Amino acid sequence: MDIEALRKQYLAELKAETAGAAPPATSEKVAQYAASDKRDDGKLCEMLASLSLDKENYAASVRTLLDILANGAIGAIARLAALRQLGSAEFHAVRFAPFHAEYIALLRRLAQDADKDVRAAVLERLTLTNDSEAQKLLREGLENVRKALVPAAKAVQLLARDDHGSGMPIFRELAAKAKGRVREQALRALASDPRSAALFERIAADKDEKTPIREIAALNLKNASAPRFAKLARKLALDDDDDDRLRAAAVSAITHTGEVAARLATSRFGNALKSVADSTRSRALKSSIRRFAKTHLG
Amino acid sequence: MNVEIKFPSYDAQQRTYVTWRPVEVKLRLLAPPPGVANVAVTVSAKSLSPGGKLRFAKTLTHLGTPTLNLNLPTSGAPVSVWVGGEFQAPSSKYGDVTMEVRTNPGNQLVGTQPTMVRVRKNAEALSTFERDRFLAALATLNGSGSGPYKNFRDMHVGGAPDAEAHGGPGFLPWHRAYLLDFERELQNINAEVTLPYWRFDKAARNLFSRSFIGLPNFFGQVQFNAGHPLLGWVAVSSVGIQRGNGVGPTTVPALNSEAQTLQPGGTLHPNYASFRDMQFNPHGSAHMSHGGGWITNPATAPRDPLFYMLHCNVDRLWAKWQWAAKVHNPTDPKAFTPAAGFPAGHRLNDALWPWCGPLAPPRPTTAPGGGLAASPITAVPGVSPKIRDMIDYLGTVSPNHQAFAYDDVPFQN
Repeated sequence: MDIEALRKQYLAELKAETAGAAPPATSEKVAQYAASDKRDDGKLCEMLASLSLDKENYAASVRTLLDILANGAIGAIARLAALRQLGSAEFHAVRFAPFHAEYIALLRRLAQDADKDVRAAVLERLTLTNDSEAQKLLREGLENVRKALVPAAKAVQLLARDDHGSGMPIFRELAAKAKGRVREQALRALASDPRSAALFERIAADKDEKTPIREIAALNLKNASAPRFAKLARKLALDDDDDDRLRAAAVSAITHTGEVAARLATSRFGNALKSVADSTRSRALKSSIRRFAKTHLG
Repeated sequence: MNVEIKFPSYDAQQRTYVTWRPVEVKLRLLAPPPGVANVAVTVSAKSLSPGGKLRFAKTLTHLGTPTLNLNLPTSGAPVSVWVGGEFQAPSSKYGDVTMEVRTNPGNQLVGTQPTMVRVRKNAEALSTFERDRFLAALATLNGSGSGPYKNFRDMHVGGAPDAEAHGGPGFLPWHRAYLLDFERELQNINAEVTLPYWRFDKAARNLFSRSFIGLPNFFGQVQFNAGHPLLGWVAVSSVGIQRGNGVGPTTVPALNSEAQTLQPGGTLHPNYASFRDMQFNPHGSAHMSHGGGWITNPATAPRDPLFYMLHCNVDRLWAKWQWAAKVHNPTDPKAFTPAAGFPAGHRLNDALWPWCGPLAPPRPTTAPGGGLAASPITAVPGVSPKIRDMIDYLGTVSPNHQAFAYDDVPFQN
């Protein structure tokens, strides 16, 4: 292969694709269009997506994006597009620094915006940075101290991002008593909670529980207590009467968790799993067992 | 009579790996026939189908050929042959290509060396076998959320460390070192693994599936098939992966294409100073294309394993621009931004944090510490890379290479 000819061909292809392409939108034009009476939110979204964040345009573009996000008269779809572009701008912390305080203050205000999609997106952004104001709003919503800003399951998911675990007492309560997705998210939020190990064991072993819930409980136990998970996973994997998806998850978790595999990777367990693989019709379980054998039994 | 084939380096299993960049291999006659000064041999490669292919030359060049005739002295003195992968013919597993030495004439096989043309590939084009091998290594690296993967999460966090990773022209070199460190940790688990890239300007039906990197439900909770290795993924405090549902199997994210990234307005970026604005679009846009979840914030993005494939594509784009613009020499002012006006960690001769240590002011103190993972195949960039070390990753102008390459970016000297 002639590499230099390939390079020239590649350059020609680049040129053909980009020559005559429309230049990026400028902040001035976007701001003018956003303020126009004839504004179409779809077109505004397109302009926002092509807004330049180059060094020369960065400050003006961020200013425009903040203004559009703050403007409740503009449709939520365009405000959310502005929020996404601000997210791109945030990936340069140094350039974004002069706007950071204003941005966070705006997001905190918009956490209680009239539009539910804006509220959810803003809380999504704030909780990724452990924002205490957003965590407080979510916690109070779950405790019925204030009107919930997002559905309860979403609130649990977002509050679970708190690295300091401020929602743990609520999660424990919801994991034990709530229903449906709220309970699922509460269980996920307890992933590494050693105080909940007994709850995980009970749920994972309870065949009356739904499989996805048992799966989360089992995988949580892996993180909360490897020795207890090893015992549970062995039982699940070898129980022909249990759900194959759950059994596959157990074998997979054993395979990829060194401290658990170290307890179970014996020829006796391997032989028992081989019998399972020979008898099951589940492709997922078969392939999980194959991976275990290849990884740990040579 | 035999021929000893000695590659520059082998791992603990006595395996050796190549990329597009040729390496110098020494051939030496063992127990040569008496009465002659030289033995004529032909060097070639035998490939499985599908399998990698090799090219051979007498010097370091991209112009290698499928076979090469050599005379090996019966004195036992070694003769050099440069061996590299044939561009666009990568391996999928170790030993799917074998270097062979045969007498000429006679065609008697007198030496063999299996190898692997190991390069980073488009995640979308991985075979099921390659995909599962990668996922298994990822899951093992993360373990219960406290394995070596945690170190990579802790390096790429908000606050002061963010200025190291994203706060200036060091953005691309820093992430190149970070990805290399990460890939080497994966290779410590399975040496055949390379980091695949997410080509984010195209739809990725295979990647965004329940059998690969998962599909988020309406709730932003990523779903996997039964028994998937990442099913029990844990990052920090919750089980599972949180990712917005902005990108599905048929989504083409609204961001700059490869052509727009390298050659906006029909003109190739003339220098690194202008190229590096790709930090926002497509890089930042790719992060934000998911609409929500961990990957949309620098502090949390590494919690989602997709993050590494996203950044692998960012690095591939840089590598592609370097090849297209022929800018691999760190001393070329077009290859990197001139030093003035940037903080530590963003100048050509700066050592990169956190690998440089000590973790003390004025650099951030929050990383786990330790040097960049070693490779059994190459000594570079070393435990404490500098920005300048990360530019010529292929060894185009420098004598060493970093033992990684991209499936669509050739070596050319």
